[in-house]
Amino acid sequence: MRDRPDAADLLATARKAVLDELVPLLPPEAQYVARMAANAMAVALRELGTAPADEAAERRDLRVLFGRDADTADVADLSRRLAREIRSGRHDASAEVHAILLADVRRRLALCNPRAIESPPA
Amino acid sequence: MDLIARLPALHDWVRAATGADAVSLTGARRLSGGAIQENWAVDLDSEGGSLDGRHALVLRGDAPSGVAVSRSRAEEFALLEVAFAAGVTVPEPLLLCVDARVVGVPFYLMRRASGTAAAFRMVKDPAVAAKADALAERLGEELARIHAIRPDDPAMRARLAFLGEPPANAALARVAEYRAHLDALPTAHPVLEWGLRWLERHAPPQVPATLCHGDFRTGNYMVDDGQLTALLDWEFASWSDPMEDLGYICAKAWRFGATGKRLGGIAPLDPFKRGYARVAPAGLPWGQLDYWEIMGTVRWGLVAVQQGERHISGGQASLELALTGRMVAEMEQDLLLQIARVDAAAGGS
Repeated sequence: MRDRPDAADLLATARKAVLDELVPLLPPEAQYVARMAANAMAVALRELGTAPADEAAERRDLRVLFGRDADTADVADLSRRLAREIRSGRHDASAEVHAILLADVRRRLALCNPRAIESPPA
Repeated sequence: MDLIARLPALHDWVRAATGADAVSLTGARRLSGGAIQENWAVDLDSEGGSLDGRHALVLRGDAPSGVAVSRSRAEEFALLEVAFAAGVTVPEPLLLCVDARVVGVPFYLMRRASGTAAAFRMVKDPAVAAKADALAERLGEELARIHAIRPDDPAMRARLAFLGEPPANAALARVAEYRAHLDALPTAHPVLEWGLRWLERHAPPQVPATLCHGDFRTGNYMVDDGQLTALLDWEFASWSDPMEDLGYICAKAWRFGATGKRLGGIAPLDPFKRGYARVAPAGLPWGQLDYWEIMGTVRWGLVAVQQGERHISGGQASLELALTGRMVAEMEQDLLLQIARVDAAAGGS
């Protein structure tokens, strides 16, 4: 059993201290740096603990293309394989692959910039 | 570079290079911006010589950890000279020093433009909004003057020999170039590959190459009270398809949140087209703008990944580079949605 507060609490508290207590005291150039630091903490905070679920979702999507390989192969290798196949023209204009890529992008945006997620075209 | 410590050496070099009786250099301070270059403001007061009088200057030199991804200072100086002579609004280039012993790195001196290039503030600035159409027209005129510089002019070709051979098809050349950059990265990027494959399949026909600025976007030009004062950052100039520059400034990521204003978050496209056509009546194939916006989005996505890599493994640990690396998903979403819209409008792909 680890001591509390946990990593998420520490990050959130540190971020609040940067924004509420440090930023108002800083000259403008340094405020910019402090806000970047707070943003990096927000990304790290959202990312905490989400890796297993995101990887499972990625493998589930890729199963449509790669079958059971998608369950066992290294995800970086699966990504390389998809990249190679796209470049070779194998998935040209495939609505299925477009949807898989968009889902992947949205999972990553949910971590680094959730407000940037746009609804899909009708 | 510690310019303050190098001021005596700079002083002696400027006096010798201009043939002045006496010079004084004051007010040296580092300017913000430029991850690869350092820019310093410095004021010159000169008695006699080629720069007699008082001048507000910028000294631009390589940052010591400069990465070999962009043009050298000497090449950038030549580009500025060519653009200045063609009537493009650039800071007048004055003196080039390739001897790294003077201030520690090669550098040049140019006139200091007034105003700011800060993009997020510019797209919200009421003074810019009030003169947005005029600013967009002016940017159109400027870009047309840049694009009038062509590699089929032998003098220009020789002067800018460092730009290499003009590509047969600039779009396909970029696709090949960006794929080579992707191949040099440690991880795969299937969405950028999707964009590049689409760009390969939909490449426009070959056109005569022109000089292209290569980084033509809001954030890389200076504005003072709504008026253009300087086009900056020439380090990515090349012989290319002139639509490439327009696609870059119009790409959604370079509208800085002012998405409805297609020309760099500043203005709609029409005033820009008017300005361009005033200098180059044939205009540009505006119907290709979606294509070149997608090209610009792929490029910026690739650059974001590369900047993240410079933080991770390139020996340049930096919070800004690290966060830029995480921005790639925004450009990837833009390109996926824009390709889907273009394909739907074309009735398939």
